[in-house]
Amino acid sequence: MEGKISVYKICKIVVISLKLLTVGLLLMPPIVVATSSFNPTAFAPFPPRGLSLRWFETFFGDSGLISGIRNSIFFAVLSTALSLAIGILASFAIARYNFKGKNLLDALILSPIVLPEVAFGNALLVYFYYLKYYNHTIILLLGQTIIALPYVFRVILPSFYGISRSFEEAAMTLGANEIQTFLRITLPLIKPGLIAGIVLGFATAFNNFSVSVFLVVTSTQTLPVHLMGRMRIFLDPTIAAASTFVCLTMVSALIITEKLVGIDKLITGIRWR
Amino acid sequence: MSSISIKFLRRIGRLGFTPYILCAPAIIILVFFFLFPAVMLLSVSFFKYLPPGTAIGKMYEPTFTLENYMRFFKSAYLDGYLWPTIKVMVTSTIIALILSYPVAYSIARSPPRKRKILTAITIAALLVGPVVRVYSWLVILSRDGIINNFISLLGFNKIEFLGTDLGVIIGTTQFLLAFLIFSLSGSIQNINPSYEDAARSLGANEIYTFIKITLPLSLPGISSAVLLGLTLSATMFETPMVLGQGIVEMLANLVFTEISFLNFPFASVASVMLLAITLTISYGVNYLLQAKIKVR
Repeated sequence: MEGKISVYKICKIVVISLKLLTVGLLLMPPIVVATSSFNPTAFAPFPPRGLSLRWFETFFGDSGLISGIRNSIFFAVLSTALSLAIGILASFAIARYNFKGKNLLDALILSPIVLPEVAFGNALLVYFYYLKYYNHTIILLLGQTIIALPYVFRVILPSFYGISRSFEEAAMTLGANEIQTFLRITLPLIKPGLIAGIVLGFATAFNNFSVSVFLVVTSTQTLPVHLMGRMRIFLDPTIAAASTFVCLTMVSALIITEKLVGIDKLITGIRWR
Repeated sequence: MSSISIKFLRRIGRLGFTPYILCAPAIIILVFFFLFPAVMLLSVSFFKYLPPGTAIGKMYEPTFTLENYMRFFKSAYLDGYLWPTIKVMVTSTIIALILSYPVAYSIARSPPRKRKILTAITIAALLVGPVVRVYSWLVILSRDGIINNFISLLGFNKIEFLGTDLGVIIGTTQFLLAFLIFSLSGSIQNINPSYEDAARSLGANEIYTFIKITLPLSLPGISSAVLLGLTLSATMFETPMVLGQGIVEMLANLVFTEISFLNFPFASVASVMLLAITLTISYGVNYLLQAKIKVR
């Protein structure tokens, strides 16, 4: 009996330490990045040797990083808006109508997840080279829109299935036309899905490196591409300061989502299978 | 004015075109900027490569050749090109699976408050992009990093993590965790808890219940998590790029290297192979698993 209890205890300890290790690994990047960005010396941020805003000063004075942030926000906002518009229309059609090729369309919209991002970046580069089309703003915008689209689609489609049609029917009976019904009734009802879609789409586009790196030129360089370019040279705490900025953006997006609709909404978009 | 357009819309609606009109933007953007580029990628992989200087302004000649594929398989065979990729894929998927299962189980079976905290941590880890994560690993693993500082304080020799398989595996494992946690927690949630309750009420302890009930029932979930881990780690790009330091080169990095040498055909071959590997893993293995279940 005693032997059994000790085996049980050992198992319990192993499981708990695995859990702690995993949670620690999940939390590690933001913690490490934040500590080293507030550390006065360039090397060995552990244990921290004091508190300094030195690296944030160099960060805000760095034209490359600042233009990277500006570009990242510009492209992420535009591509989120685009993929949201496209995604809303397509998922409304899929949720409300029966038509030929519906399953094919569903597969088509999700297919950018299947193609490895590097291969997609390579494909777009080769394609636009072949077309001799060199508007780099449009090219990057298209690339980011397409990779954000599946995630946006996956959170919006279930929210169309989740609302009762009787609300829309009531509005129509009371004399609203189709467009009024859609704008005044349907869209407000799927608001939780929309917010989750915005957060996921924005995060996907903002963080993207694998596709963007094939498509950017100096003037459209986004923050991740700029950071990766500098990371290979030396350990620069200015990068830590910029990364802290990214973490803060993402954590505040998460908090806003939680306050507005609850973070569980995000999981349907993230979960793969 | 608007009533006229509504009437027009209704007329179109009666013809049954409405869903197609709604889907038109999605279809147009995906066909022109996703499917066509993919087809272009496949065709360029069969084109003849022109080294810089042979023809001005041309990188390839559109004549059919298997040269690029031959070169790929030859160097894959001779230099063991795919070895680092396979090693990193398998090792980090296995470690990530072991690490993420307990947290996934907690998310699936905990009271709402604890579940919410764990979910928030996992989503936050996902939203912090791969670039930030890879930088944090650089701070920890580099020669002047946290671990090596600690080691040299203790008086041991510094360990080289960067540019070794070990460093890339560590980074990749961390990258996979959040994805695997959500994949596993979903399948554990689908297991009816009354099976476990039944086992417990019949006198089985936690370990016995887990081994005999929960684990076998979550096997489909585990297999799909493994497939997910393999496909994600095969296509990893940022982690091997920084932590591999150009020494540990994975397939995704080969694509980028060849692009920077302006060898579009060979980069396309590497991309096509990358897609072939992920498709084989996610559909081929899935098919085999299902066939096995049917035989039983």
